[in-house]
Amino acid sequence: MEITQIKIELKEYIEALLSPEIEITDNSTLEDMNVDSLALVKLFVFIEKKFGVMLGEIGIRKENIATFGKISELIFDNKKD
Amino acid sequence: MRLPYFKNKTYLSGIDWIISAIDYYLIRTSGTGNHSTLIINLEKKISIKDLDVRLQAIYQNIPVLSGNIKRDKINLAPYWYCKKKRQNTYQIFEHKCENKEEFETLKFNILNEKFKFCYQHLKFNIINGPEMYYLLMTFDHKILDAHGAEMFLQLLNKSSEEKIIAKIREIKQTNAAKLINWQKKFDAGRDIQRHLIQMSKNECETIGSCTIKGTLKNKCGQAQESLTTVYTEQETKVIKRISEKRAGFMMETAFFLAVCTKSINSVLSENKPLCHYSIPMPIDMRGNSKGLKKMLRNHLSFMFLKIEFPQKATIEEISTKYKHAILNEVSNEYPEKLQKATRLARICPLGILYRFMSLSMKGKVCSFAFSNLGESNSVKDILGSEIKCISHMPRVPTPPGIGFFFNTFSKKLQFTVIWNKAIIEKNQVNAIVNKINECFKEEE
Repeated sequence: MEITQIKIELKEYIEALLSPEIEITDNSTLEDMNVDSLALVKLFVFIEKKFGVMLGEIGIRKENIATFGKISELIFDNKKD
Repeated sequence: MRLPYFKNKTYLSGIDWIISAIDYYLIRTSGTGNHSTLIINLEKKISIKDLDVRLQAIYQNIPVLSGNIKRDKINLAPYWYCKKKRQNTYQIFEHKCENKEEFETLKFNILNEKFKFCYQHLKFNIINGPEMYYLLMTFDHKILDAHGAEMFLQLLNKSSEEKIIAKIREIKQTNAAKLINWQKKFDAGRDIQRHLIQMSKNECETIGSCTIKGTLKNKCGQAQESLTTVYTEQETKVIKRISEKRAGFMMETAFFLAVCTKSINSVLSENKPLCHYSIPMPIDMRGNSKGLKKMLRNHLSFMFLKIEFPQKATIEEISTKYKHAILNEVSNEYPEKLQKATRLARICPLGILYRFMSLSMKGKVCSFAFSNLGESNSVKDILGSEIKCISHMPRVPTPPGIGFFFNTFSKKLQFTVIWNKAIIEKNQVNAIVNKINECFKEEE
């Protein structure tokens, strides 16, 4: 799966879950996207189910998930094909 | 202007019925129901007349606010019934107080005061003193949940009846839980039941001899007391930093749970090598709906979190256990399943339902009540008076008899502990709060 496809699916999920008031771009932060701690857990579960990426096992650092672009890259780098 | 349409009969959801069961139990064990009080600290005095005018406009246009639960003999599903004749069932009181002690006494009385009659679900107390102005809004959880109550404040801010009606048009009545898809509800119920049985294998810690039997024997005089701590913006930043360091990025809920568990454990169960803690955590299920659309009634579900607590566990270790428990709940979709499963529970009379709820946990429902509401940002002022802070003060059933509630307003963290005076001493609660505050300080 290409990174553009990952971004499309991730964006669709975030928009459906949280309806952020802004247009999601690579630089959108978690705060911009209305992601709170519970939404973050839901996002992790979605990523695990959809892309097979176990974020809990990789070990999440703030800098890895700070923006939409970073999360997409993290999925792309760790996804199982 | 044409009035917004409200049906005078709508069926309750399963969660509404669970909330009503807690109300039933609280009334029978403490005399006062499942209500909560929003304590709003204001910049300046507000006018009782102005508040009354706006409330009248709201009540005349939302008759649901003066309704109550009802159940027919033939049709078992309970419903919310409102009379065709519109009534203003709210009450407003104004008090004067000279100092902080008087304010605390007033607050204590308001927290423990029951509603005057069954169709009343909202009560307002304006308290003014030297340099302190408060509005206390007591609301019944049968009609509003915590987020719904904050949304209600938005309505109060509308300056004229036309503006209030325009806002009321956004409100939708909660959809009836449809009497279809039985198989899905049964499956969800089976999964929840298995989950609860699994959780009840190890008895969880509760305060003292706080069992249902003990509580029922001691019916009267179970007043609840509260203690609120408001942290400054700077202190909140420090707490967030500590939370990130010890529990991970954006994991405040797991961190607060860990801090409360460790603190309560150090005061109440210090000698056991291994304890189990069980916490039902309410979560808001409104999802992406904005505005007042889902203001009325309950849009909640619960996560049932159970952790093992070895005596020497650190905050980091406990936070990790809670994070795993939360992840397990979300990935197995237990909150969604609970919403479906509870629809079947609506055929149960309230008394039996509460018995069922506690029986599945062998009488020890949970160790403590907990919620983290996050940022309360829907309203910044009321009737022209700027809000300094808002804290939530819900009543807690016994067991557990103690609850910890967090919310943030204007980037300031508020923390309220509520406890049943009959089962725990104030000095013990002070010790727990001190322990919590120690965890909120950076190590030197």
